[in-house]
Amino acid sequence: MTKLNQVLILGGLIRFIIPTLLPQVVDILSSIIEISTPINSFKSLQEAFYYLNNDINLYDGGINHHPPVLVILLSFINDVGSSFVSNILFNLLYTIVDLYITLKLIALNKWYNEQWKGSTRYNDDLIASFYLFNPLLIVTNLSHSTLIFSILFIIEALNQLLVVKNLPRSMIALSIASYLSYTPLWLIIPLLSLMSNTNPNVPKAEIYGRNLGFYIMGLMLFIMSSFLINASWQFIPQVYGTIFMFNKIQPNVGLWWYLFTEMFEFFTPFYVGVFNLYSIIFVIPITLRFTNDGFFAFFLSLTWLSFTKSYPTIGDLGYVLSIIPIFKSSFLQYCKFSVIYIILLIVCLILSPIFYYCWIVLGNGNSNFFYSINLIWGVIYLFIIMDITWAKLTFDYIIDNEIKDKKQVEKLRLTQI
Amino acid sequence: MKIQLNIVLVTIFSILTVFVRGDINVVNTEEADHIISKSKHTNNWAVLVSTSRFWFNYRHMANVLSLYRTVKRLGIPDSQIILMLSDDIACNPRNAFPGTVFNNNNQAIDVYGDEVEVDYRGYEVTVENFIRLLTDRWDPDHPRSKRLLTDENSNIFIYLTGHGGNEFLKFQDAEEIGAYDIADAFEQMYEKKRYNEIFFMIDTCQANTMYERLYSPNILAVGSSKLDESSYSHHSDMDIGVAVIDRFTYYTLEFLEKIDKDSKQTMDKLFNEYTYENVHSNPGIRYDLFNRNASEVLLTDFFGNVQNVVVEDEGEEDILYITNHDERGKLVQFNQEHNKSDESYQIDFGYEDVESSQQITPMTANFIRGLGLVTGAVVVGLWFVST
Amino acid sequence: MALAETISRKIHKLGLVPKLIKLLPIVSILLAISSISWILILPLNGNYRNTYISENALMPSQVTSFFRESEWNIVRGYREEISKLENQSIEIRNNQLEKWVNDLGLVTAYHNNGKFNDTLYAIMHAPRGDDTEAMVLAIPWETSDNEYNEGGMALAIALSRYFSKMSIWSKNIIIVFVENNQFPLRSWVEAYHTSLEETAGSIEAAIVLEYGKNGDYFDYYELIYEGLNGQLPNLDLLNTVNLIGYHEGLHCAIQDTPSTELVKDTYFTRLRTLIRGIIALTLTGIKPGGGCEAFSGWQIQAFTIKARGTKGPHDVTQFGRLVDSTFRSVNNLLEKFHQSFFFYLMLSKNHFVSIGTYLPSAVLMAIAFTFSSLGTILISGLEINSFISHSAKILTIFVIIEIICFILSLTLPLIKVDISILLIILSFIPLGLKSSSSSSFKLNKTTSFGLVALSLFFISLLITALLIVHFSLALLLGLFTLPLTFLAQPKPKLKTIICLLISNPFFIISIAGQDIFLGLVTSWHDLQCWTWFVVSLGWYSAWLGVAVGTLSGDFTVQDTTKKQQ
Repeated sequence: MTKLNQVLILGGLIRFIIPTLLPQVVDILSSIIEISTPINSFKSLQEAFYYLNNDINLYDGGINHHPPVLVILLSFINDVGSSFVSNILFNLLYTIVDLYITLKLIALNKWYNEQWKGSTRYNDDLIASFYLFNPLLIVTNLSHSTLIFSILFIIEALNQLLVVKNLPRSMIALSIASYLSYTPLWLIIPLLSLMSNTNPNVPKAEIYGRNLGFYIMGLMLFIMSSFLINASWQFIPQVYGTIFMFNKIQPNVGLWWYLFTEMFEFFTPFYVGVFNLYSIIFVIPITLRFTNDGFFAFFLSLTWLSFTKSYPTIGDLGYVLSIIPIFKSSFLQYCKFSVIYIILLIVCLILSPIFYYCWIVLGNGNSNFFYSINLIWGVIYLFIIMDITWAKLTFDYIIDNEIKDKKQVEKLRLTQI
Repeated sequence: MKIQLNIVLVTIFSILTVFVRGDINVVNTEEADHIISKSKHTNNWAVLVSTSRFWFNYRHMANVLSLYRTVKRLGIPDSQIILMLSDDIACNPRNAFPGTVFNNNNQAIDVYGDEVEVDYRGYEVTVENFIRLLTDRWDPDHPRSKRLLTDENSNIFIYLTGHGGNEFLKFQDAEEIGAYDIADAFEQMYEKKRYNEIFFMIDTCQANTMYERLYSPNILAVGSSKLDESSYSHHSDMDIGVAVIDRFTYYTLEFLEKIDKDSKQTMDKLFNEYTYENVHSNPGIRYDLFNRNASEVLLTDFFGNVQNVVVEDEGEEDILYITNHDERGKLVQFNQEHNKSDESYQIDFGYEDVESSQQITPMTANFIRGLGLVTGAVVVGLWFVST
Repeated sequence: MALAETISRKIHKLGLVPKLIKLLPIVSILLAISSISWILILPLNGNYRNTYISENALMPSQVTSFFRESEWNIVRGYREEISKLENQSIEIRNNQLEKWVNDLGLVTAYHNNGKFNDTLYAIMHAPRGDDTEAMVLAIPWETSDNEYNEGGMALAIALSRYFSKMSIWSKNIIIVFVENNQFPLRSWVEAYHTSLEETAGSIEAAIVLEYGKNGDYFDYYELIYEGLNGQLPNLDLLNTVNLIGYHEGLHCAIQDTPSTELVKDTYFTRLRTLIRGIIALTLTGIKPGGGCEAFSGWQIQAFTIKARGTKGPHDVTQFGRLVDSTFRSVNNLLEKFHQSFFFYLMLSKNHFVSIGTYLPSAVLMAIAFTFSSLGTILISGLEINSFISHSAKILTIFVIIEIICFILSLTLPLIKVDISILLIILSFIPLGLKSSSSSSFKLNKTTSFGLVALSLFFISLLITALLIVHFSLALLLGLFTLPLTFLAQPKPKLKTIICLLISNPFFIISIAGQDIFLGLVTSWHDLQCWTWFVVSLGWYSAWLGVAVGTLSGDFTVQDTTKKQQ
């Protein structure tokens, strides 16, 4: 058995055996606010199944924020038989999805590192380990958060574009991801840029026009069929409006909730606008600056969006961290702060539940305690974004100026690029 | 109905007095002449607001109720007093003397008494309601007894107490009114000719900041403390277990207690009471918007009602006759202009209204599943078609 | 950015980073020293604050208490009756009390805790309140000094009689007559929130009352306030009772202030109170305490007051007024306690330091351990990559140690072996590893350095995790394990053994005494105090990690300068 297979089997077993033997793990994890939010929690999905089976409109009562098609397709698993069987099937589904993402990451790793000849990449088994044994992703998977599906389709969009080289499918995959959780909508910008990069022979206008068409067509298909399924436009405010307007103010690891609980209500619309704008506007400069490496631009945009989204979980950071090793042959060697943010990350992961416990259970802490950890969480993101951006710029500088000597590279002290 | 009729009559009376005023000048009572030349107002209103909740803010309720009692004693009728009382401390379980509110530890006067008409109580005391009250922008259904029905001949005494800060006053521990809000509301009142003169009194921390933004004419304003200065309570009642009155209000009341309806005491005498020794803070008085000198302003111009109107005896028609009959002596039927609205309004629950069902047609689970499958199939189809 | 860039260039030019790395062990020790000195400077003038009432609604001492001379006779009467019950069983005593409180119109009920006698409790539903919140007055039959609590019982009945005559209550009052203030009280509190049928809403505050055979007069009162697992009651509550006591002219002792030094306020009295407070908070639940710790964990603010002395100038009704006025203040509350501090260290009854001031001490300690951990790796002279390639092995060893500790943590409370033998086994056997370690179980250099570094980092994380929740434990843990950081330097073997021995949890516990050990292992079961797990899963496992790394591996340091050449 190859090392890769060992990793895959072990990673798969963790994801399948634990929730099968201890079904309560899923319930516990899906109630932890750092791991699942009202937008992607498995609990509200189960509530939606119940609504569906009892002919109640999916969006009555404002509990369910999952898009209709997802609810319906997953409900087939839920209705397969006894809850025991359907639980096992769900475990299987989530395991398969994670394994699929792993395989696609491996493919992407191969593709990306082929660009820089002569440099080494991480072995497939390591890339798989970084994903499958990432504790943040294990708990996210075990909590059966639906976040995993939008990541699946984001990765699939990249895979179809870069590895399979099937542009329409890539667009369909991204439209599914956007349909599932709104935020990937903005990834269309770096993705289109990446497309024109990888297809230099085709005129830009044609690429943009055609693929944007596919993308919009995909989205429209989903929106219209959702309208038919729901017999109302209610899913728009409930699924997307909730994310956009931040209607469900509950603590999570992000930066939004605290400000919106403390704020006077009449400021809310203004700041909702500012926060959303802030979240998406940086995608454009990132894409423009890194047109030479569209994959990096895409990744950086993904990181930025998962940092600034309204309902982030620790899983969002987990995905970012598991993709970083792909950049081994390019800039990874120039990252300097990794020790700092790994220590910060560990401290955050320890203190966050403790502070939440102090606040909610013991009553001797307050929301400020918990939010201070969220701020550190934000600092971790900023460190990562700063570090990889700077490392990437350094790497590009070295390539552009053809500095080959290692000693010279070590002496290189860049202050401004 | 009876009450409403009364209100209508009172209003008409006040309107009529305007026409009658020419006759008043004929009255050769020198004193009356003197008074009327000083102040042009023909009716008095009082708006008394306590803005803070909770048992430990007993004193704010006591402040307001004491002033309520005083202005009522000095002649402003209940129909012209708007009393906003943010909490019901008389019935608080912590109150050792249920149903009472005292403003002094000698417990001599139960200011809650038997005849308190609270116009806005509890959670009705909001910034919005206060501003609506001043500017008289109300729903057509709003009861007249809860409106400030003033005109350009009205003198209004406005008293606020609660917890405040630099240019704001807290309402209900939930929201705030700013100094600019009040200033703009007064300006609107001025533009709409809703007052002749306003006497604005505020007892809260940093109270003077609240009147500094006023810019409309004919406003006399006093506050209990300057910027960065707290206002203090006067004393506690050890039986009730709370502070019962604030210093500034205490000395205001102590002075007002000595005057009666016909008093000729002037405003400056009251202001002389506001010393640092008494109040333990620096009360402020703002004259610049006011045309008259404080020494010419009678206390009863604001705290009392117009009492000195003498109607000539020779006029055979009494007021009631005039109001009820037209020029030909025919009985006039008053149409109660009562905007009776039968429409029921949809209640707006904020964003939660999107949580109630808006389905065009009811859908069955199987049909929905079918549609979902079709969508899935179409996508899978597209997936394979696209190359 | 420019400044940061300049600094970073300077650092680079001067080669500060390698120098700093070489100095890491010393930096780590300096940090540890500064952590301790931080604590020592807290009682200096200017570093602490005076207590104040933060919550406006409390209004302590603003109301006259009528629990005065007229009630004194009633207290006396009840006390006489209760003193007759001293030799009776608790069942009979409870029956008598139940009759009395039923006559007052209070609802009574019993709680069976399955181990001790039943607990009687009486509920006075507030006549005009909304029946959702309650205050508790708990009176043990036996005080924490093993005295018959006749004064406390008599006061409690007299107070209930007095309370039931007043109409001002907005919160219900629960009076708990419990055998003692340890397990039975904890069991009652737990049952109140889970299984009891007669309840009176959420408990906002609780007072445990101890007035032994002091008679009619007492000297001063003692205030005990530590909760379980580092929890403390809201400082407002303590300030309230102290302010009331001040207005009554009573002196207050906290942290065993000797009666002669009640009014003394010097650096040393403050330091003594501070250190005693830290130790007491760490040992709450392990050593029998005042009883107020029984209320920890359900957002209940609780304290214990004890009457001290028998000849003093103060009479028993003043002690009652302390309770009455405190209840009146709590009764005024509209929200739960939230205004003042939950994390503080008292320096005297009216001086305290808040979390922001004392926290850096433990933070410095945590950083000291992190640096020491980094220093261990850097000083080994090995490549970082070799540690990464050995990481699986290091982690496996650590997980095995953790599993051993986990088994120990569960089995030790059950085993009834002579504790001294157990302590010797747990402290000395690992130390014997060195002599017995054959070549079959010998860690290579990377693994042993890695294991020591990981263990030190683990302690650092443990301190970080406990920082807020249980500062005292975090600080003491850091102090006791500090010798482990001295191992990361070339040194004689004897020093290693001594350092390991004096930082071993079981060695320290065995010095502290057998009672501590018994309390420690049973505290989770009896009181849900998790200190035992911190000791066994955190402290002992890290210690084992260091011990295994240093003793059974190649833990010798090469001269780093040679390596660089």
